[in-house]
Amino acid sequence: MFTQELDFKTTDLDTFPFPFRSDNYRYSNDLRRLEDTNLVLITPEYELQVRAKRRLLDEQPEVRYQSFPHTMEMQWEFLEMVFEMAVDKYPEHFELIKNGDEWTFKNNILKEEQTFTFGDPSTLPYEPYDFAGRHFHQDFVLMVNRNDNFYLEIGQVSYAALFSAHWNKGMSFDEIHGPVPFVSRNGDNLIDRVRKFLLGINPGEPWTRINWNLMADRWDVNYETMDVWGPERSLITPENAGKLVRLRVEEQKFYRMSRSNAILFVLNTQFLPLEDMQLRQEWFDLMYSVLQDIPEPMAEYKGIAPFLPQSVEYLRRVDEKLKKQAVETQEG
Amino acid sequence: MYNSPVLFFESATLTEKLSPKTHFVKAAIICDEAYKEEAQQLQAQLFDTPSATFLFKDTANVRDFIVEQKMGTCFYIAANWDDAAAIFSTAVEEGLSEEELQVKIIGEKRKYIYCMKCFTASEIDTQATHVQCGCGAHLEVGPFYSKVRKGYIGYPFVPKTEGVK
Repeated sequence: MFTQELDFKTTDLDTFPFPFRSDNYRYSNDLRRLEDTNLVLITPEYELQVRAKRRLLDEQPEVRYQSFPHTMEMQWEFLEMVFEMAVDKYPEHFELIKNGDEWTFKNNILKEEQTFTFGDPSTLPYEPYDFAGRHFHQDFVLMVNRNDNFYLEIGQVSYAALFSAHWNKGMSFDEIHGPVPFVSRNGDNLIDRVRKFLLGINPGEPWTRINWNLMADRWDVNYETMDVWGPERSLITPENAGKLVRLRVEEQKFYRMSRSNAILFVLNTQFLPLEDMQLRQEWFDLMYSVLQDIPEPMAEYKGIAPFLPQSVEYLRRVDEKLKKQAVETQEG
Repeated sequence: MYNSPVLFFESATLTEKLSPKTHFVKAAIICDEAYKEEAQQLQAQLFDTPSATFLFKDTANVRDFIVEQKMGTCFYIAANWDDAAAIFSTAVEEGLSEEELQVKIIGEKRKYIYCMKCFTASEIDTQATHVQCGCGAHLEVGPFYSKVRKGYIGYPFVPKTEGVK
């Protein structure tokens, strides 16, 4: 049975990719060059999040992992890339021993070791992409470049926001984003702009952008469980929003694969409950301002419309309390 | 390929009335013999454009007709849904694109929904907005079609009478 009983949240706020820089938010083409090009990241929640990810993959394999049979070469390319990045950045945590095609990968955090023949999927317990991805907490989506577009051919997705690896398998970038009200302040079609931008990404020069959402007592919302999380959204009240509503931030990284020419989407998803916004006053103020100003179509698209007012009311009450405390401190 | 064009309820190739497409030097008409007036009406609009017509009782030999045509030919198909879908697939297999095809369905079109609970596609009433899948799941008919899953997305929901799970 699929479980949502996960209990991790970001505890090292310095690693939390807080998404807002101004007090209102609109979709924008906010792509920028990635400074640290190594996608591997060990956070304090690494083990908890990797184990949760593996549990989700095991509970719903059809939902969480999809690939086409013809992707095997690309899968090995992915495995080699992420294992080498892991060893390069964290040699104390990961080891990769190559003896011709006989490789051994060691994950010292999880105390795991796997020897396999590079190029022979029968020597691994899962497909190469699935196996490699299970050692890192991010979601991984590989989109193949064809006809000036990108097609989703492999997906390992455990923390979805209105997305399904199962449903979106084989879809083009345009088809996946087709229905969204994505226009810039100037009315430009942002999806078309992003697609064209992705076409220009070179190997070795990854880019990044940040996406965000709110989750009502969920770690993911996919199409397969809409009948569960849809009604639950209305159970949020101003009294419980602080604990149950979490800011979900998805740090997206885009890598051009040098051999297959595909684009690898790496999605680092982190969560912070609304009550933790108070840990950084600047974040709390921005969050409160942004959520008050969300246009209805955007709230509907993000799936947050049923609990947005309650979330704003929670923040308003906290804001009022904080201001009152500040006045009392001043007077005292 | 998995992303090759397929004939579905809102295919760009579907038309209410066959009419000559510009920029093509030849026309090839594939028409159910029972509805040959469709072919005749189109031929009358073609004027000087060279054309070839294939009237069929069954679609068994349609592939031979398709591969005989020259580059620059536009294919016009008039048939019931099942025959049209078979001819469309054959045309795509032989390398034709949607731009080179125009399809008129005689009779009812078909529409399929893909259940996000049991991962199967099933035919639905073309006007339906909500249906119940064979697995028991209640589904809202979504607007998005998947060539891989061969159906419109079916969003699971709980009918109001059943309350919140």
